[in-house]
Amino acid sequence: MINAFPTHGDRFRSAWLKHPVFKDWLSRCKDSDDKAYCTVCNKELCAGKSELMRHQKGKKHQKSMEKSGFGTGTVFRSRCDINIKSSDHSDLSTVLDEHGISHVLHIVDLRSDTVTQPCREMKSAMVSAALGDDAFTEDPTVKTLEVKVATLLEKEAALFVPSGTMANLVCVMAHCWHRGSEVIVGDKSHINISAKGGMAQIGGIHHHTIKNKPDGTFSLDEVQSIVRNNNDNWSSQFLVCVENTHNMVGGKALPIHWMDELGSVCSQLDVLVHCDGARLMNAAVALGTNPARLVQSCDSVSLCLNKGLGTPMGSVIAGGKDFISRATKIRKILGGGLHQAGFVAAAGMWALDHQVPKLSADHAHARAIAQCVHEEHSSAITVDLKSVQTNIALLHCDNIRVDAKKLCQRLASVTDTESDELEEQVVVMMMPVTDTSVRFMTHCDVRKDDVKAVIKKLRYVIQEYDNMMYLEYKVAT
Amino acid sequence: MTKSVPHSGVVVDLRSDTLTQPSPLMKKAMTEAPLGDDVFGEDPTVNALEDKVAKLLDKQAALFVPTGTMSNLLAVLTHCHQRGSEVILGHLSHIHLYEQGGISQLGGVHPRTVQNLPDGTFDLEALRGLVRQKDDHYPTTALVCVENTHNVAGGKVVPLAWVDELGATCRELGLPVHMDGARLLNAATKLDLPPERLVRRCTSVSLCLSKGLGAPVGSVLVGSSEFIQRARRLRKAVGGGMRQCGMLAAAGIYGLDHVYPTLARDHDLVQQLARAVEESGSKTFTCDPCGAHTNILMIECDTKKVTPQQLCQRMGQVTQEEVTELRESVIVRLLPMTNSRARLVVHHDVTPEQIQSTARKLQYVIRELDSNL
Repeated sequence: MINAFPTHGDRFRSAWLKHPVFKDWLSRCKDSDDKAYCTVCNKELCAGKSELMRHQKGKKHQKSMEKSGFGTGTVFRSRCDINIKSSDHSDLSTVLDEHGISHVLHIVDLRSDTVTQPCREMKSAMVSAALGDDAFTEDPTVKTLEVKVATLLEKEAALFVPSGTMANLVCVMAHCWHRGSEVIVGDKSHINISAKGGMAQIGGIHHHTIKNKPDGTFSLDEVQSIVRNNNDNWSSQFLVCVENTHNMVGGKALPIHWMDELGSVCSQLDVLVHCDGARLMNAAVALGTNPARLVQSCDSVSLCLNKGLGTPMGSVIAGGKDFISRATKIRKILGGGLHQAGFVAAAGMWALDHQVPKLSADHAHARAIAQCVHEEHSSAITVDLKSVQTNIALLHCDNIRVDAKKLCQRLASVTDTESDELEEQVVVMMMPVTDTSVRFMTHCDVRKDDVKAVIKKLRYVIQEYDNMMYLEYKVAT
Repeated sequence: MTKSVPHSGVVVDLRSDTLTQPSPLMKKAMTEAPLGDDVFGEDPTVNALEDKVAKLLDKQAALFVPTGTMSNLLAVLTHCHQRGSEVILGHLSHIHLYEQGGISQLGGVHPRTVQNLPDGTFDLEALRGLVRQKDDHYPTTALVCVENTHNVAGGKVVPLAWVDELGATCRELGLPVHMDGARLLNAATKLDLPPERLVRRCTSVSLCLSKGLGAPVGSVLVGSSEFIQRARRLRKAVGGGMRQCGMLAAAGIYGLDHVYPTLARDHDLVQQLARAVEESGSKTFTCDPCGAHTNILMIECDTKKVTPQQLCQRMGQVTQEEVTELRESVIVRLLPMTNSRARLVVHHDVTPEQIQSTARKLQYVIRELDSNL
């Protein structure tokens, strides 16, 4: 086991800023690498890990933390401090909490399907893959993967890239090859919200956002209006981007008839269509169709291997030959031209062959968890069951008893009472996506036992919030 | 040219040190590495690699990236974060020649080249002359870049005294220095110095793991904590944020621990090839053994008689006469680098026996091409 936080004597290490025990209060000392700073005690400390641990456990610091709004109870926020003593994918981990006490925890990480780790069979495929230098286009495994994905999506060619963000950026830049090209993208799309404005900052491309409807689609009339209005002034190449499944609206699969209609409208307007299909395979499984059908009217597609398909990294884009040729050049300039990339491409090959049939289990798990929340009939935390189509669900907080951040913190901590009543210490990690919405994602590393544990925990926590109102009411009368 | 025959023997691929493949032990390290989601900052192996390289170069922080191109791109764009920035760099630098002008195309940064001298350095007075004064006609000089070892110069180690002087000059001018240290560890090996000494006067450094160190993928950008924090954000924007990339980071760690100590072997093997060219006595094909500091050899061709393309093509074939005389069938792959030079690069996947075969083939081909002229 590699020590993720090596101590190198009395010198401040940046890695400590991410350590779950330190990250809420620790800061660098501006003037000195030998010192650290506690932002809640307003005090300089010696920069040694044991010094910092000692400070953290001290009564004064604990009081300062409470005053600053950091709750008590045992909190486990990230996986960095977890020393996994059992084999891959064990449910239980022995960890030290911030007080240095050892606990056996059942940890279920539902923050994202990107947390999946490669299983033994996948690693075996990676180790035995034939390799070459993909910068010379000589990696046979990368080539095989690219042909496989092109065939799967019924496009002429494909290109392996290190990430979904790069996949979308490369596609947008390859389509918007000429100065003055513009993009139309949903206001809740990943490209608009979570890609650090790459297409503007890096690609120099101007975009229009269009309001996403609750089902992930948008108004085709509005698309027509934008394109026509702009073309009056000077001609631009337009590109429309869609996302399938749509993350921010809760992992919904875009209706096939809408995709076909979009294709028809865009064709008439001479506008290109790109599909951010990070979770395209989830959409295909949910709709019971092959993925090529979903992207029939798209000029390009990006497909992630590192999400529900479970590979450690990587994405593939697919489109016409000329498009892929331009995309290859752009991938190079962005710094995405890996060398012996076949090592990770092999994981993608294995995943496409073995993981796709398992996606329906992920969908069933998401639904089961959402169902339990729905059946609590809580006013503090609700879910729209009809919206849960794939492996993503959104829980809504009432913002009176609980908001998104507090719910995530509570689910990731274990109180003594809870531990006694449930006879188990379950840590569930979810992600706040707005002030009141919490997202969870199921994936191939989440199994039936994990789902049961999540349900148990959710029920307990929901009842805690529901009882809170009752207790407050009781005190008042 | 005499007729080539189908080849069924050895292929010695000296086109680049990026061709190295992970060894069984490296792969073992890769599959056993503990992993996490690096976009959440939770991959312990990536964190360990970043700490290791920061410590190795005595800088505050480091960032694992997919390629050397991205490492340099992030460095320049992070240093040149204000509109109207200009970077001074050698006219033969990799950033200027082989990165598609990314700093301009993607980052809006204007390049100002300074003439590289044959040893990979540039004149510091010339540098001073290029630094912009404040004037509405001019962009603002924001960064100076240097490359070590210098690729086009033939893998030369840039003199340490010069790097120190460059650092002092830039400090006086208020300019940061970025070192493209793709092959920095080859330089450190040649000078027999800890790598941190070579970059002591540099503000940031890129170090490749996928070249001589033999990892399949990856590079590390190193600098101050604040610089790396900003570079990390930019890495996300260009799509360089990978997930469980600890598998790749583990290969880097293995390379640093086990392959770095063997780089001197690659340098020694290059010397054997340099001597073979020199001993051929050809006036058409020449090289400078003393100038071959590290794992790269440049063969200079008299272009009035033959081009580097022709040399590379002939080295990539076998003829019946050749097989008869040398009693082996060997193909050697090298690359035409400039109008007059062919480059070959030795790396840890090349064996001493293959180098001996290459030396024999080089002498044979040089003799053959000379006699045809």
